[in-house]
Amino acid sequence: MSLSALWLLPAAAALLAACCGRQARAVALGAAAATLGMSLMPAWAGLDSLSRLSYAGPAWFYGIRYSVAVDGLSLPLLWLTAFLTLIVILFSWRGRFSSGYWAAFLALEAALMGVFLMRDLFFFYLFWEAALIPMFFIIGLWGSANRRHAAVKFFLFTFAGSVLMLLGFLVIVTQHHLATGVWTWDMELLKSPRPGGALGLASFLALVVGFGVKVPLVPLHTWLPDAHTEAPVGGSVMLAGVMLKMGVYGFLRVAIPFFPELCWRLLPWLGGVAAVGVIYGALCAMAQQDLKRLVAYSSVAHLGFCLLGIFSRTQEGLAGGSLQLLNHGLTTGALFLLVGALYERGHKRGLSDFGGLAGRAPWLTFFFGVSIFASIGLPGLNGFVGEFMSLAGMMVRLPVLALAGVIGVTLAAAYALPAFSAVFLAEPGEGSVSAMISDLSALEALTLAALVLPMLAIGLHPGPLLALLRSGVGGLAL
Amino acid sequence: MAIPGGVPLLLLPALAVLLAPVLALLFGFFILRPAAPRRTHLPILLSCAVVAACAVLIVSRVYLFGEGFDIPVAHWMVAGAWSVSFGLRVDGLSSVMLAMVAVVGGLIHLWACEYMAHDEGFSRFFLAFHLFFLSMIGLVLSNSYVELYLFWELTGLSSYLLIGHWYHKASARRAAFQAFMTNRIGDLGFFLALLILLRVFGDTRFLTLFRSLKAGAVGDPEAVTLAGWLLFWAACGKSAQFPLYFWLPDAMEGPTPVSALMHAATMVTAGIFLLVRSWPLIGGIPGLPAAIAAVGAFTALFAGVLAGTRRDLKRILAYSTVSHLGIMAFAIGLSQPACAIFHLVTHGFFKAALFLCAGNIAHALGQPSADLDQVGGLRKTMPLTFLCFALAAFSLAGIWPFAGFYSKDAILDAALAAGGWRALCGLLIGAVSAFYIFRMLFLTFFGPSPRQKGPAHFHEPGALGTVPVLFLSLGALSVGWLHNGFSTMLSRSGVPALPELSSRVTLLGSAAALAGVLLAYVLALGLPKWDWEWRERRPRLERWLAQDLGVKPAVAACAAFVRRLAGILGQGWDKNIWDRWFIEGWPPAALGLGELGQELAGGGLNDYLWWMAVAVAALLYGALRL
Repeated sequence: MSLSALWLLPAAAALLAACCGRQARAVALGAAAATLGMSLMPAWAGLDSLSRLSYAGPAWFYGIRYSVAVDGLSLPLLWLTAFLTLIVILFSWRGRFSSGYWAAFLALEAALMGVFLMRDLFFFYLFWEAALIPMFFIIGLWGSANRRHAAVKFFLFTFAGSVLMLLGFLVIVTQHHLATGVWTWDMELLKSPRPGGALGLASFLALVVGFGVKVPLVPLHTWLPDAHTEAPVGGSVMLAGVMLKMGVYGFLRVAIPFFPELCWRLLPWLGGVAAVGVIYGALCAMAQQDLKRLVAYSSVAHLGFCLLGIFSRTQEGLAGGSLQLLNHGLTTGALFLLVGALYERGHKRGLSDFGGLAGRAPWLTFFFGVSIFASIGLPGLNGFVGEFMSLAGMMVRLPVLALAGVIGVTLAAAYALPAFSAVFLAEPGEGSVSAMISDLSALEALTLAALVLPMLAIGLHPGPLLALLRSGVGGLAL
Repeated sequence: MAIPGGVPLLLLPALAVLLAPVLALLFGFFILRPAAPRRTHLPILLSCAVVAACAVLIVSRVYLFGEGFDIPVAHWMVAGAWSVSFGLRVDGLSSVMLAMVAVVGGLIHLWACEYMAHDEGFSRFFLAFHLFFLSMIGLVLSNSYVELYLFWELTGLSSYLLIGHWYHKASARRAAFQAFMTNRIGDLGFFLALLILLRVFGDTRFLTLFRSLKAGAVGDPEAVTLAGWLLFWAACGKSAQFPLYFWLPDAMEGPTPVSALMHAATMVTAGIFLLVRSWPLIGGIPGLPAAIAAVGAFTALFAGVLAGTRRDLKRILAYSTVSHLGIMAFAIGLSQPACAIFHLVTHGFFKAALFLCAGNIAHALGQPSADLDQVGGLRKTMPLTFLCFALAAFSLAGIWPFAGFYSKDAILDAALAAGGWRALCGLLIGAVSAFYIFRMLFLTFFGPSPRQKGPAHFHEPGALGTVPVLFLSLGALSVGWLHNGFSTMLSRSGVPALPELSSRVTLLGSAAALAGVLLAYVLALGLPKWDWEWRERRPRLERWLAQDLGVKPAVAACAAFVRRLAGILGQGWDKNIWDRWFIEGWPPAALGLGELGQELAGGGLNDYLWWMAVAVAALLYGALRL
């Protein structure tokens, strides 16, 4: 099996779905399931032989060359993308969507798979930008009241970031050409010689800002609450579950390997921004009255943990930080699905719009409770493993930043539990829509169980996944 | 994982005490809860019986043959050379704790069957209750700090679920959140200590950690000192030491079995256990034991005095628990961790018995708790409850030959040996605890005072409501007699032995206790209206006492401050200033473009693609010219 099929199949299916009208959702389901199945096949074949799957085509102009590969870092991210796409399609199954909706999600999947597969900076950039387009339509067409504003803001913001990123790429490529006389966009070849001096610093910072917008790093995060809140359920899940990971993946795949010394020298700054994000995101989440905004801000905090681990450049920090990427995809994905289920039933999202759901909708309450406790880092569930290992890594380097992270862990309970209590436990108040909330349907419960089971499995036995991730990121350790 | 030295004989029962509750919970949650929710307690009771039998087996073998082990069981988090594992540790300390938790916890489970029989959330209650029990068992059997933290947090989770069991009550929700949050603030210290210990030792297994501490091979003594202080902070949160004690009295909002389990066996004793387990680490840190002693003594006196002013039966007992946890911390601070654990065990029995008696009284009224106004003279209508309460009260007050006498005496011995303020505190604590518990005894079972309703509408509960209490109060009478065996056992696992009983200490301790009893007698029975009249005469004093001498307003102010800060940051700054003015408003062209995009909606994409092409072309040109 060729790796290219992982993005070609959903791309072709997207075209098919766009054309075939009423059968679109069946096409989407089939394609998403097939993609997930294919993405799992490398694991079947044995994880030691991942490098044999890579493929590189002939060079085109300026050394651009189509090349794909997987390793211990990208494989789990491919799984996450394929898995969440399938979950989203199942969860929207009963919704009345036009064929464009299903096509957009398949196109999004294709672009995201491409980002994690490509090993040529040019194609990496191409897929990176391509992912914006379906998401722009998902938010702008199927979002809630303020969707257009959010879609445009999302597009402009992240696009500006990617242009900076592209600028960084161009400097790297041309400097490499000046030094060696060879044109190449290949990620491996570009690592030496690297641009140094002021130009190196400038291109590194361009990459940091470019990836940082996606993550998002704190002062650049304000597109995220708007986009997450206005997007439809599936859009929020894919945004939080996969698109935010592109930023961290960019750090792991490009920024750190290309500029290891710079990244190490700037650790207090980079780590400081991540630590600020952890606390800032948690405090902002505490102030939110809208459930979706609350989960969106909690993402800002959670992604801060990933970066703290990764920037520490220790084995445990790198493995934990990249595991936290997957964890966040699962827990935040589940939370957005549940908030979406509430919104579909009651057409409200405010904390004070519900109340007393624990009695009315026990399964909804159960899954929400597990996801909330996973997200606040209860040991035994997945969030703890990622946070703990990330912070253990940072403790070895800069204890102050680890302290900030631990404060973030504490604050997480302060925003998550009152929200849980207000929606599920408190007596419904004036104007509550709780009466309209029915419990999860069997299909919905099944999709959520599919998200919750891995949370428990990773929480108690993360060993195999950590080993896989470490084979991908361990080389970045100092 | 390979086990060095072969499989120990006790491994099987040790695994059984963990697996039995896990299986009971899975069976209860997946099969009985949907199918027959009213029967959820059956597998759970069976699991309690298995756990109690295995625990007694373990403790007797550890005592008789000095068996014990510390083995890794499975990997948890691994990254190259860095790893954290699950393991089991059975030694004198953990087996004593295990036996107490299993016996007391099992009896409380039994008692809860009748108490909760008509509750709507019967099956939810039993599942959470058993999870609570399981967390504590896992906690005492842990062989590393990280594993201990896992169960430590699980007790936090289950206490959240149980305190908030009657979640339709706003007070229960608030109390549950307050308990979880306060514990989390304590856990901040634990989490940091874990990270520091991992940084310094690369491992958090007790075995390897204490071995390298003993060998003096510590790279960074300051970091270890800091970790010791942080562990104490964590224990303050879990074991309700000043200033993090306030969640415990409010946790009374949960059903009575929860209070009994939480106060006697699980949860609050975990902090004391942590300190004793860490004794090789914290004992050597200069200044830390003295600080623990000071905090413990202050907590004991402070909460003891407040317990003497409360009117709600369960609240009196709650403050009494805070006070007794203070006594245990005091003992640890006096470098007598064995005394602390011994007192923890005796306290487990008498406090559980007292709570269940209070629960029986409230149950007769059909209320979650009872006020002193509603009782009085109950010895006539509830003689069995009176007997059990009296046995436990004598034990709490430390009167010979009840269990509390032996453990308090050992602590007083250490306090007198230390001299100065510690000796004074030791005696005062003895007098204060005797006072509040006998005040409660007199006002509840004697009288009734003219201000009380009296015994008319009270009746004894059924067999399930009395037999467990009887067993617990017999334990409150007798477990102290085991002090010699207990001392031998603990000293085998590295904890110093209990001091010998001396007549001077016995005399002084008994005198203090009798003074307290006498004072209670005069104020409660000699002047039967006094407890009501001073409140009417001095309403400001009463209010000040009700607010825990100003602690409650201070806590509320802190919480309000954080909420306000979050509000300013999350709404005021992030949304209304940063996003509105700096992101969306700058540069104005971006806003214009945004509006353009808004007007053109989907069609605007073309423009962006053009902009993109132009920008890329410009960048390419610039880059190629470089």
